[in-house]
Amino acid sequence: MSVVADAASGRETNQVSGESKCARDTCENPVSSLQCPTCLKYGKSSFFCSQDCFKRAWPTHKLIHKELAALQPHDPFPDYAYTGSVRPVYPLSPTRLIPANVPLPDHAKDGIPVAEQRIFRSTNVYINTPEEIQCLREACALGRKILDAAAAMVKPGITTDAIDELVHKMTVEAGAYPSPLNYYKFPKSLCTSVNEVVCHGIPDLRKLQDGDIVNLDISLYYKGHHADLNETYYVGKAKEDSDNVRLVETTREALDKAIAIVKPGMPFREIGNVIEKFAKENGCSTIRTYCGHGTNKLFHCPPNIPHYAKNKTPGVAKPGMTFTIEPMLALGTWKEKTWPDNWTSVTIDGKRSAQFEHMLLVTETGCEVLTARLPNSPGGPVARI
Amino acid sequence: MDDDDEVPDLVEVQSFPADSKIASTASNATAEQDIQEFKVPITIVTGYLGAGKSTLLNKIMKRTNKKIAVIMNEFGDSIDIEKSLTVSEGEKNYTEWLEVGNGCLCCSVKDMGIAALESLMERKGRFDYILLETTGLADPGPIANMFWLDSALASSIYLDGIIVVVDAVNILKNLDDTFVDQHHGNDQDTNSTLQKDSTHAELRATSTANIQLSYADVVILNKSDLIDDVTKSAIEQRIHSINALAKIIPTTYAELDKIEDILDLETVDNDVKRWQDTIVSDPQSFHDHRISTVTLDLPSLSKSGYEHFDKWLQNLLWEGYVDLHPVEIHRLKAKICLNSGEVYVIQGVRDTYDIIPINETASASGKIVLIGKGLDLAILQSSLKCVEI
Repeated sequence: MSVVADAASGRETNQVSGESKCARDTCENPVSSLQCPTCLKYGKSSFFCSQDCFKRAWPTHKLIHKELAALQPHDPFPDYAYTGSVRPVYPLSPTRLIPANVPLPDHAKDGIPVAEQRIFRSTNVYINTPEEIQCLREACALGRKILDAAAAMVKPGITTDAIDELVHKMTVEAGAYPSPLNYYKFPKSLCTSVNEVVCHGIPDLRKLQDGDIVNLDISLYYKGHHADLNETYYVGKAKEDSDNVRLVETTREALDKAIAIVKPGMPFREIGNVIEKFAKENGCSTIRTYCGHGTNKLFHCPPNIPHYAKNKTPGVAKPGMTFTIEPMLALGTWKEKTWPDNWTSVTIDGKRSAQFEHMLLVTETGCEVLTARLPNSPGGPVARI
Repeated sequence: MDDDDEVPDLVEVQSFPADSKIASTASNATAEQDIQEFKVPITIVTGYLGAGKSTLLNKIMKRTNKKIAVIMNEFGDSIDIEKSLTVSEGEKNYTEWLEVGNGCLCCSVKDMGIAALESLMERKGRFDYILLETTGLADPGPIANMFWLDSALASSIYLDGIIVVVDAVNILKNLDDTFVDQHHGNDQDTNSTLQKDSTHAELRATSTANIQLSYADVVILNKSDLIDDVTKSAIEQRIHSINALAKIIPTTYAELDKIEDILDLETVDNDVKRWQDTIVSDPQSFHDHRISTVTLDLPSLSKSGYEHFDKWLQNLLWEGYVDLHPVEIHRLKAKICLNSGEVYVIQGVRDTYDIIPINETASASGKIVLIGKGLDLAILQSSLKCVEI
């Protein structure tokens, strides 16, 4: 683990070499083999001539440690009682920039989606015009292309931040805005949810490990419309574990089964009945806090679509509506909690959770999956073990 | 993190230790104690400014030793980050602050104010009761629905009832005011079906007093010492015609005989007993677009009849139509008896309804009580015919 720290004084960068002088500014003694234990912990060498000299240097020397700590990959919440083994690895990379030519959704500036808040708790579902549907199709096709490119990067050793970098670059190069960025201040351009993370994981410096499962959730704003889709992928040998496969494939199939009932006249509440029943049959629980939602000119709008059974959600599907279904299933409890980053949702028992999401258009006879997989899309179903 | 004050001893090393990563001090997650075995009732208290809401709340707090939390005003307008509530415990009163998350809750089913309330109780111990006082002009419908969570969400809070405090001196005048109502039910949807809005425009002309009364489980007819008996009985009749389900309690200075009359109302069984004998003696609402109560009998249903009935309900509550006539349902209660012997109770607030099986032997017929605008008994009866197959 190496860190290049440009410390305050030039002298602090002394190295193990014959001519080096003691790290204390005004000391002219050659170094001994003694070095600061804290710097060492951060992977930096600070040699002093003696304990006494080190003691005198301490008031200024210790300031370096703060800088080193911030740059060092670290857990930002060391005292937090994590529920599983996944840890955030900070620092987050600097906020990525949006070129001036990319049209912005209203939350881009200050994080507040004003238009969404205006219809807060309404249950009226918007019917898209044919022109709007065309824009939604294009946005979703772009979303699929970017998700597939991101998925192709998934392998052990890749950081989720590296995936974020690619997703951000591809999105803005296509003239689109990555919808998660600054949405209620979310810091990155996609959500990456590993293992026990249910959803809304923040891309960071954690490297994907052989055996992880990771969900990539892409949303973008293109031609005035949002697209929203996600898939869970196996990292390396993860697909050799029967529980992983049961979880991931059950979630994938639960979404397919829910999509199969979508047609005009279908009460939205039925979707949860289909998903939870199938989840139970396969020994999985259904996460309840987060639900599917309308997506059109607004990122999140009516209807709310819970994935659990026996919900009271009002309304029926009608041609021209667009919404997501995005079940999150878990191997253990359905209960989740949020990390102190205010975003990352994890199962409270630390057991794994998977998610799949499609965006649907209700047609006259059924529905069209706007974010459907392509023949060459990475990932896809694997046989149960 | 760093031991700033004490100078550590230098260490002698020839090379870096192999493992130089920062050890996380995180303790292993103790499986979170199984949350929320308890359920705390919440009662919504609404009514015009000056009707006596605050007086009533103070009286309730003084009369009981329960630990009661009182939330004021704009709780539902969840955009504010900081919210406070007053806790009353015996003689003590103090303020608690809710930590309302700033996260994205648009794709979360639970209102963030409720989540904050739950987490406050997890940290600081439960309340025995929560009272929510709305602003004078609030429409209680959306607030009620916010607290009427799916049982699957296992919330530690449940909606117990809605109390409407009215000023006996002014209520008749207030009922006849037809100003405002711009604020109607938060349904102003710039991004949505304007068509529905305009068809329903004729249903709009109603004062807030009507709307508030339509949701009431209990009406506190306050300042009743200031009116004569004739006026009082006229008022009671008028309130009954709007909401035949509500219990009307005349008070002076919001002084109640029994607090049990207004709190802890809503166990389903209790509730059925309370309303199933409701009779609207004078269904005077013919072609009247004001708010009224209508009751309908429903025969015992076959399986397919029940499915038809559910479609009829969806049309009524979700589309706002009965046989092409616009309606707006504020509250609904129904008892459904199936030929197969099951009995269900249906409760509805606005577009949300729930079907709960109850332990009761099926009687010959069920019943529906509707409170809302545009209710025409004849039209409703004829439209229900299709169900009775």
